[in-house]
Amino acid sequence: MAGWKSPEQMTYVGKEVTRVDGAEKVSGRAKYTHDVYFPRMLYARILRSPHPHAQVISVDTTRAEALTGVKAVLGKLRDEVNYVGDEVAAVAAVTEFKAAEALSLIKVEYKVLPFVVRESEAMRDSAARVFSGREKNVGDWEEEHEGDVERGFAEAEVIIERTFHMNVQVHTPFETHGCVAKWEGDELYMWDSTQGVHGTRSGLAQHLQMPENKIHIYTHHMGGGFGSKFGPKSYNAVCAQLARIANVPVKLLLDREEELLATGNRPSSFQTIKIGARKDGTLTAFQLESYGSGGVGGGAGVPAPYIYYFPNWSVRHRDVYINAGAAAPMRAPGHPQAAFAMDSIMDELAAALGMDPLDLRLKNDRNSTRQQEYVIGAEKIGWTNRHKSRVGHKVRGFGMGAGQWGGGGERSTKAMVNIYADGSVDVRIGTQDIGVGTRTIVAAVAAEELELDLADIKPKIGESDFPWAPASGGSVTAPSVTPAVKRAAEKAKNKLKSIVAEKMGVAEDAVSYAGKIFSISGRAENISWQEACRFLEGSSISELETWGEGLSSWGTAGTQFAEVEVDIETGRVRLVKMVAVQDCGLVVNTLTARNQVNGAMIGEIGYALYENRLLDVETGIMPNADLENYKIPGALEMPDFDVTFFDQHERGVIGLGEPPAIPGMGAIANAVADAIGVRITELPITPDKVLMAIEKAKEGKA
Amino acid sequence: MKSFQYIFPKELQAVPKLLAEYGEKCLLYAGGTDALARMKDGINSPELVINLKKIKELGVVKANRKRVEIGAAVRLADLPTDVRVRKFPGLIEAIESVGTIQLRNMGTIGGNLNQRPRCWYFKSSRFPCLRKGGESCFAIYGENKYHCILGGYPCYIVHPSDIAPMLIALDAEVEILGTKKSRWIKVEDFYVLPSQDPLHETVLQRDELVTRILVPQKAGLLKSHYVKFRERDSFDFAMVSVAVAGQLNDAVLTDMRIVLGGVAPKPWRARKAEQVLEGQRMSEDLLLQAATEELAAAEPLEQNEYKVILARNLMKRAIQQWADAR
Repeated sequence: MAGWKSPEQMTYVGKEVTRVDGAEKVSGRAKYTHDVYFPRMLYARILRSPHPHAQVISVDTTRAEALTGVKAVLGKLRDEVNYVGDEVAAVAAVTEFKAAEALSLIKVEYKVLPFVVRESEAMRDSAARVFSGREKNVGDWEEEHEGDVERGFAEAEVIIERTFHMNVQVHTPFETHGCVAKWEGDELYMWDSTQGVHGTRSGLAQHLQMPENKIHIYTHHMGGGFGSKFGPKSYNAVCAQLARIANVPVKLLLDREEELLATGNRPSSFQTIKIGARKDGTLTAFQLESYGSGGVGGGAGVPAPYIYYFPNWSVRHRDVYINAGAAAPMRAPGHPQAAFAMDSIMDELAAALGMDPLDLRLKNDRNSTRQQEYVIGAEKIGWTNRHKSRVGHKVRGFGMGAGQWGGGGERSTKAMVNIYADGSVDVRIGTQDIGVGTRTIVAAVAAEELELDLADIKPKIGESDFPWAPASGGSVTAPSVTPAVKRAAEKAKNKLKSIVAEKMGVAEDAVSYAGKIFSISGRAENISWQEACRFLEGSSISELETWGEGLSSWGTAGTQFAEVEVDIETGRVRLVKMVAVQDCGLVVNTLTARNQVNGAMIGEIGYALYENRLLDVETGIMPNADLENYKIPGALEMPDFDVTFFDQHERGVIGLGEPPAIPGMGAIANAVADAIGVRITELPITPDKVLMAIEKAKEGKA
Repeated sequence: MKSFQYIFPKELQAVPKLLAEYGEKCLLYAGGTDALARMKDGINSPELVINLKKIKELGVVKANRKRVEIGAAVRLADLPTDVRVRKFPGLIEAIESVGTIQLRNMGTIGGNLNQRPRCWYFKSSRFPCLRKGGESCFAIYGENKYHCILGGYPCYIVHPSDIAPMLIALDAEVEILGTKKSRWIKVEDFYVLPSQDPLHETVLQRDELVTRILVPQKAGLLKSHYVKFRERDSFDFAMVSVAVAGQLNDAVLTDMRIVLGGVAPKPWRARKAEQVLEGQRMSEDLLLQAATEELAAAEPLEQNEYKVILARNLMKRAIQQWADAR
C-alpha cells in the first residue's frame, strides 16, 4: 500500500487542523465521564485507610447499611493497608453526601503497625517494614556496566561527583479518576476516564470473571491521564460490584485528595553520579548509584548513562519501598529523572573544564539529529550572545537539556472505515483521545486518504467495541492509529473503486480517483464521490485493516533551552523563555503537536519549580493533598514557548507524548545555576532553596 | 459534610443572639470562600449556618470627616473602585493581592480578617492539632516550611490575611457587635498569639462578630504600600508580606508603621524596625539594620530559616518601593 505523500502535497496531514471536537468541548456539550448521568443513578465513595500501615481486623458495615439512602456496601477490601488512602470499604447511596455519611458509620478495627515514609530510613535494616512479612523494604540491586570504569576514571583529567534528588510528582489530571457502571442483564456498560478502553475491558473481565464480550467501555472525552489511567484500577471493579448489588447505575468519582494519595505518581530519585573527562571534554567514565521510591510500588530506576557517550560506565540501582501510594507510569517514566541529573552534572563538568556547556554536548552526543537540534535551539534562545544580565536584584541565566524516546506503533492496531450510500464516512477505532487531539488526527488521516473534506468524516473512537488500538501511553498512539486508519481508508477507497469499475463494466485498473472524482481511462465521463456511493444501493462499505509497516517509525531526539530570571532577594525563579527543538517524524497535526510540546513544558516547569508530594514523617500523611498546597503552575507562571519541529517527515509518524517532557528540568536547573552561580541539586527549585543556597555561598566566600 | 440549617437573617441584632445560643455549633457565612471549604474539609460541622449577605448595613461603605467605614460583608472586588477607599493606596494593593479574581469576587473584607489559618495540619481533619483542641502542634517536627518564625509556640500558624497587616499600618479599627454592646478595637489588638489563646486567632467572644472596618481619614495623608511575596503568582498566600505606612520628607522617615504578614500567628507589627527608622534619613544600610533588628528575635523551625532572609530583604524592598512611589 501507499506511503505518505510529502507534506506539501497533503491537505490535512502535516497541517494546522483545529480540533474537530473543539466547539463541543468549549461549549460544554462534550460529555466527559464526570458528566454521565442516569436516572436513579447512585453515587459511590471509597473508605480509605487513615493509617500508613495497619492490619484490617474487621470491618463492620451494619450501621452504614441501615442508613436511609444507602443501597450497596462492600466491606473489607483488604487485610492489610499499606498507605494513607489505601482502600478499605465502599458504599453506594442516593447522593454523594449520603455516601460520605455512610462511610463515617463504617466501623473498622485496625491493628496499627509501624511504618516508614522516608527512603533513607526505609533502607535501614532496623526500619519498620512497609509490608508485613517481607524481610526488607528494598528491591534487589539492578546492575549494568560497559567497558572498564576504573580505567575510565584513571584516564580522566577531571572527575566530578554530585548527588541529585528528584521529588515525587503526581499526575494531577484535571479530570480525576472515575467511572459510571451500568448493568443490563449480565452485560456491563462502563463509562470510564481511562487511557485504554481495551485494557480496561480485558482487565475487568479477568477481575470480575466474566467474558470480554459482555463488557463495554466508553471514553468519549477525557480530561487527561499522563500515565495514571491505564485501567482497570481497583475503583472500576468496586463500582461494577456496587452497581451489580444495587441493580442500578453507580457513579464513582475520586476527589482531589484521593487523586493525590492513591492514583499514582512519579517515583522519587536519589542519584549519586561520578563522571570523568579529559581536559578537551571527552567523556571517559560514568558511575551511578541510585535509589528511589514509588511508594508501595516500584519502578524508580533510571535509564543511565543518559544520552551522552561514555566508553566506560557502571550503574546500579535499587527500588525502595515506603508507606505511600504506588507509583504509576508518568510521561516518559524514568527519563526525566535520568536527564535532570545527567544534564546537571554535564554543566558542572563544563564549568570545571572551562567549556561552554553546548560545546561539551556537541562533543559527546553521538545522535546526529540532536547535533543539529542543539544548533537550532541555541540560535532560538540566543545562546552565543547570552550574557548574565543583572538588573537590580534580578539575574538571568541560560541552560539546556536533552532527551530521547521510542514512540513506535503497535502492530495489531486495527481500524474500520465505513462508506455509506449517501457518501458519508465514519472511521471506527478503539483508541481514545486523552486530551491530545487523537479524534482530530483520525478524521484528518481518513480525509487525506479519501480526498474528502474533514467534515465528511465522522471519527468514532473511545469505545471498546471498536477495533483494537493500544492504550494511549508511551507515545504509541499516533504511530499506531494513523497507519491503521490510512490503510483502512485506502482499502475502503479501493473497494469503492472496484464497485465503480463493476458498474461501469471496466477493469479495476481503468478507474482512478482524485479530488472526489472517479474517472475512467479512455472515457470522458466522470463519476463523483456521491454518485459512486449511490452504487452501494443502501448498503455500505465496511473495511477493516491492520497497522502496516512503512508509515511510522520509532526513536526521537529532542533538546530544550531555558532562560530564567532569578530574584536573588526572594529566591523566586521566573521562566522567561523555553525553547524546544524536537523531532517526531511526520508531524500529523502541527497545531495539536505544538500543544503537546507546550503542555509537556508546563509539566516540566511544575516538576522543576513547584510540585512536591510531601509526607509527614510522624504520621505518614500527605499534608499537601490539595491543589492549594500541591502547587501546579498557573497562567502567570508561563514563559514564552518557542517550539520547533525538526523535520524528518520521511520517517513517518512517531509519537510525541513523552519526548518533550524530558529535557526541561535539566535546562531549568542549569539556567538557575548559571544565574546565581550556585547549583540546586534538589527539585523543586523553590525560593527557600534558592535563598539558602545564595546565603550559604555568601558565607563560604566571607 | 453534615446536614445543617441555613438561614439569612435581615436584622443585624439577631446575629449575636444566635451566636450566643449556638456558639461553636454555628458558622458565619458571607463570601463562603473560606467557610465553605472548612465545612467540606470537615474542620467545621455546624448545625446552623448564618448567611450575612441579606443584612444591609454590613454591605455598605460610608465615609465621614473622621473615617471611612467599610461594612464587613462588602465584597473585596467592590473596594478597589471605591473613591473613598482609593485614598489608601496601600490598602488597595493589599486587597488586590488577595487570592484570585474569583476569590475576590466572592470574598468579603470581614471574611478576610476572620479567615482561619491555612496551616495544613489545621486544615486537614486528619490531624487532631492543637488549634482544633488536640494535644500538640504537628508543625514543630513536621513539614514546616510555611510556618511562623516569630510569635510561635505552642502553635506555629501564620495569619493568612493580606488586608489585616495594611489596616494595622493605617491604624484602622474594627467594630464588634455582641449581645450586650458594640465596641471598637484597633485591628492591631484584634488578633492574639497562640500563647494567649491557641484555639482562636482573634479576641472575638462567643456572641460577637465584626460589623465594620474603620479606617481613619488621616491615614490618607500617609504614603502607604503593600508588598506580597508568593511562591506562585497565579494563586498563593503570602510567604512573607510587608505593609508600610508613614511619611517621607526630604528623605527623612516619620510616623513609620510597618507590619509583616506570613511570619507570625498574627499580623506582626515591626515595632523595633519602626523605632530604628523613625526620624532617620533613608538609606539601604538603615533599612537593613531596621529589618535585622526586628528579625533578631526570629526562631525559625527546621524548614523555614529562609523566611528570616526573605523577610529582611522584603522589608527593605517594600520601604524602598514605598519611598520611590509618588
